[in-house]
Amino acid sequence: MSDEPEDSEMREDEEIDPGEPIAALAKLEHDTSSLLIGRVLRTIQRRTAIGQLTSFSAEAPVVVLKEFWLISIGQLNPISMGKDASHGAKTS
Amino acid sequence: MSHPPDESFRSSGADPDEELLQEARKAPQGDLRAFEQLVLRYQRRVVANCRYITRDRNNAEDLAQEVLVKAFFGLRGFEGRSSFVDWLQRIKISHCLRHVKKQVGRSYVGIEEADVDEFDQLKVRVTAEQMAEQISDQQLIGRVLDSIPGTLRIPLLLCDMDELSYEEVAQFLGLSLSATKMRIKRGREEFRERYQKVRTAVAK
Repeated sequence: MSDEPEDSEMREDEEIDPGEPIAALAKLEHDTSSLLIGRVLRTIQRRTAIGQLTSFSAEAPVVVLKEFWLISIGQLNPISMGKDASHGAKTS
Repeated sequence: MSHPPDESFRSSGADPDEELLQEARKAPQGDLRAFEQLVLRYQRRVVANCRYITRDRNNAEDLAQEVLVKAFFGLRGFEGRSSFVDWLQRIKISHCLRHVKKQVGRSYVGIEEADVDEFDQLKVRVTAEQMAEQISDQQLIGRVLDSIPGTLRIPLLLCDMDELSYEEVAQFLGLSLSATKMRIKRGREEFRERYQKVRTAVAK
């Protein structure tokens, strides 16, 4: 009983015959200006450069902080750093 | 009933763009040679789609440019489950339909909507131009398409130009399958009738 509307809809779908496709449309193309390819490539290059700059801007502060932190640790712990260095020299 | 497959590469299984696609994906940043080849292969088709779906002569190339750029940045996410051309087609159709919606300023469309019928203007224009120049078949097709209301033209183009199945067209347009088939049927009838009239006018 509950399937009846679906069945009738399906039958309706099957009954509509849209006819043969229009073959000329399958091959339809449009002339393009010779500048299009250049515009596409330039846009890609520009966006890539912007992306690199943005990611650099986001990463640069983190890298600077990390370096600063390592230098600070090195300054605060000169003895252990020196020990490590001399130990390294001995073992080598 | 699904759309009959054509004899082109869409039905042949192997993707003819596979090699270029791999090269484009593996290329180091800044090396666009492989992608450029893909663009050269499909740009005329993409522009035609943008031109006739949106009926926007002035922005067809800009739209095509946006589609191709979008495709480039989507390449890494392309999983190869469909062919490159099918994937590009989806980007293109979505982009064009969004543009049409923006143009119209409301969401898409009832079948009863009365679009401006340019057919009478078309007849005059063809007769006038007939004297001045020989109109190519491609131009005639373009003008006939321009004269068909968007409610019929867009489903017709998605089905016969992009070779999507009826189900896919219905999905793209958010219509029922029967409404989609009906629009395609009417679109084909309109196209044939108008094309025939224009051909006859030109031949006289």
